[in-house]
Amino acid sequence: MKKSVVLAIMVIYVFAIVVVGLWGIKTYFFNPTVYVSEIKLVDSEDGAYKVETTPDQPDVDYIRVDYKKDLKFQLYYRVLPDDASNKTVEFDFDISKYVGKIEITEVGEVLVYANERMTIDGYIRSRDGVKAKSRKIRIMIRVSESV
Amino acid sequence: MEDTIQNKGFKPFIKHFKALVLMQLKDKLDFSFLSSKKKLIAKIVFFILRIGAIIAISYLAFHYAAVLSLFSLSGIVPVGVVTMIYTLIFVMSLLSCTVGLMKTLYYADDNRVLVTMPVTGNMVFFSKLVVYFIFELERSLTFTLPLLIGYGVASLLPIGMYFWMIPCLIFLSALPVVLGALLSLPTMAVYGFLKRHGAIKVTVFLLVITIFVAAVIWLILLIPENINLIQQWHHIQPHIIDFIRQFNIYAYPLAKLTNMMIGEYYNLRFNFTWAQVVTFVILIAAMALVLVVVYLIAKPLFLKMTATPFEFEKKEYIKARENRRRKKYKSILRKEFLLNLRSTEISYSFVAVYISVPILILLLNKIFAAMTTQLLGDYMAYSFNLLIILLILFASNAIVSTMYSMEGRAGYMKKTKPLELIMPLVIKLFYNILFSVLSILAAMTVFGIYSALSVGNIIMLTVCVLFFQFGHILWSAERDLMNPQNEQYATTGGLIDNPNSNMTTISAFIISAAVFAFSLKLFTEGGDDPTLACVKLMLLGIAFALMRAYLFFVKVRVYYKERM
Repeated sequence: MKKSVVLAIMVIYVFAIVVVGLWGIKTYFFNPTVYVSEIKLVDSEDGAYKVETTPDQPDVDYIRVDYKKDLKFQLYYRVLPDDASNKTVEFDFDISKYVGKIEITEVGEVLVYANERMTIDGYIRSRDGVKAKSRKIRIMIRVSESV
Repeated sequence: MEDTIQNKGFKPFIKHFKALVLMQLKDKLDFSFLSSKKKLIAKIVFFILRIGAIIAISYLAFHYAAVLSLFSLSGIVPVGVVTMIYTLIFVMSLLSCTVGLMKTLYYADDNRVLVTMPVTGNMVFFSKLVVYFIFELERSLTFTLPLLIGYGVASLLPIGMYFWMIPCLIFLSALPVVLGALLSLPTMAVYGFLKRHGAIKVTVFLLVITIFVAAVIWLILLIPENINLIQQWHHIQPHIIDFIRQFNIYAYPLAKLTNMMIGEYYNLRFNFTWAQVVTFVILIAAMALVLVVVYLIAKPLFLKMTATPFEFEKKEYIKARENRRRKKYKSILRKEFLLNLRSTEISYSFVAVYISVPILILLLNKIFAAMTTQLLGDYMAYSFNLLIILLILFASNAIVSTMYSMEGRAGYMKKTKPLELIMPLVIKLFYNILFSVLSILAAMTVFGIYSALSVGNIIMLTVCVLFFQFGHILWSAERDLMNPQNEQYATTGGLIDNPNSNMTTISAFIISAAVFAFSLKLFTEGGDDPTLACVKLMLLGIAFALMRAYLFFVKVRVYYKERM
């Protein structure tokens, strides 16, 4: 069988699944708004940090990061359920003690400028109105001797 | 052989080497477009469109994978995914280079011609590697590079990285070639062993196929009954991310090579690092080392094998067998069995097609079963089952349209057989029909298990598919008989663009599409009860087969009577 024929058969095969999936399935009426039920911080995918919790404060996510020059990392989070209607979140941190030494953007980008021990508390909060959920976060920047 | 160069020096060396490489490339590639300006422009336009299409598809795939957070929550597709894709490309290249180089270095007939030319054995050896390198380079620059560009655009790679990728890919194209040249030695040993021991070869082949089929079926059966990706996604995604991470740990060298091409992601962007340069230098050094090893081990063997005149080749010991007298039909059946078994094109086609049909139907129905369908959806699923089964089987009948011609001039001997002329012609189709029947029975059983149709309806649809396949096989064979290509096969040994095969392929798409449309119409017209539709489809299949059989027999009688 020629390659083009195999390719055409594959396309038709996928087409069959898509057609039945689109026009052949039962339709349900459902509540169009799905509210966020939980938000949690997850481990950094590039290995910048791991999320920890303590038994005495299970509702707080801890992050410990060692300082290095031009330190910059992203806070990764998961919003549940996955089909929530509005999955946007905001980060809200109090950095008044460390102005000019650290910056945390609304989308969770952390930029560290000073090699100094810092503890910053804040929240990650869903933006779906009155039923908004939030999670407390504590970021700890540790001093590095090698820098 | 080493002293055959007439003009020593660098320039003549390059000239001879270039001629040698071009000669082999011309054998393998079609350069006819260079002779016509029109063809050249068409080729260039098509080439640009192809590259553009790959970049666009790659960009869209990576962009939407990032938007949907399929592989990461970071908003980009992690490098690990690119490593997985590159690993797949690399493994396929390595396999094709290993098998290809084994054949071209140690078993190709043109070696005996090439060594008679005014070139050294070294030049012939390296020219073979260069030809493969050119193929790999072409693949890298026309597929891998556009793929990476698509990823780069979707992931905001720095501009400089695109320029850095090109030298990387040029050297990476040589990697499967040098590794393939090295691996061609043990592969040749295995190949030679299997060639000498036919029974072991068949056993290994069957074993590999059985394991592969069992593994595929096992994987398909793992698909859950009710898939709700949205509900289950937060359970699935961490596993995907973890799998990518684990894969990159185990495929460390390939992960480093991927990093070498596209840089490392940290501080929320892709960065060019010195590690990329270091990997690049290590890659070149490692390839040089492997090339030296290949030169020291493979080249002497290559020279020895090409320099051995075929008159002195070891003759395989063939055990003499008593010439047994068999019944006429049994004798032809046995001959056809051996012909099919010895022709890799036919036997592989049998295995690939007739095994894949029930497996593909199993996968299709597993996916349909995971959807909660309405009545229209059920009818669509039935019709698509018929379409897929018929389409694959009909398209595979393209080979039936070459079977009589493939015998070359020996094909005319069928008139000398002490039988009704129609018999050897029909017996030639026996194995196709036999394996088709088994494949259809397996596929329709799977379909029956997953569909809500009654046993009676399933039997009627099975009869419909069986008869459609009988009819199409006869029609395909008829094309070959009415428009024989025996002379072309006798002189060239093969015909790439067989008009009969092309017609069979076109008819496969048209008839299966017509059956699909007709069956969907019948099912939907019948309301809740699909029995009448099944009866009509069965009768249609039988009518089609009877019509094709009648025309086949009539045409054969007329055609051969006139010829004789």
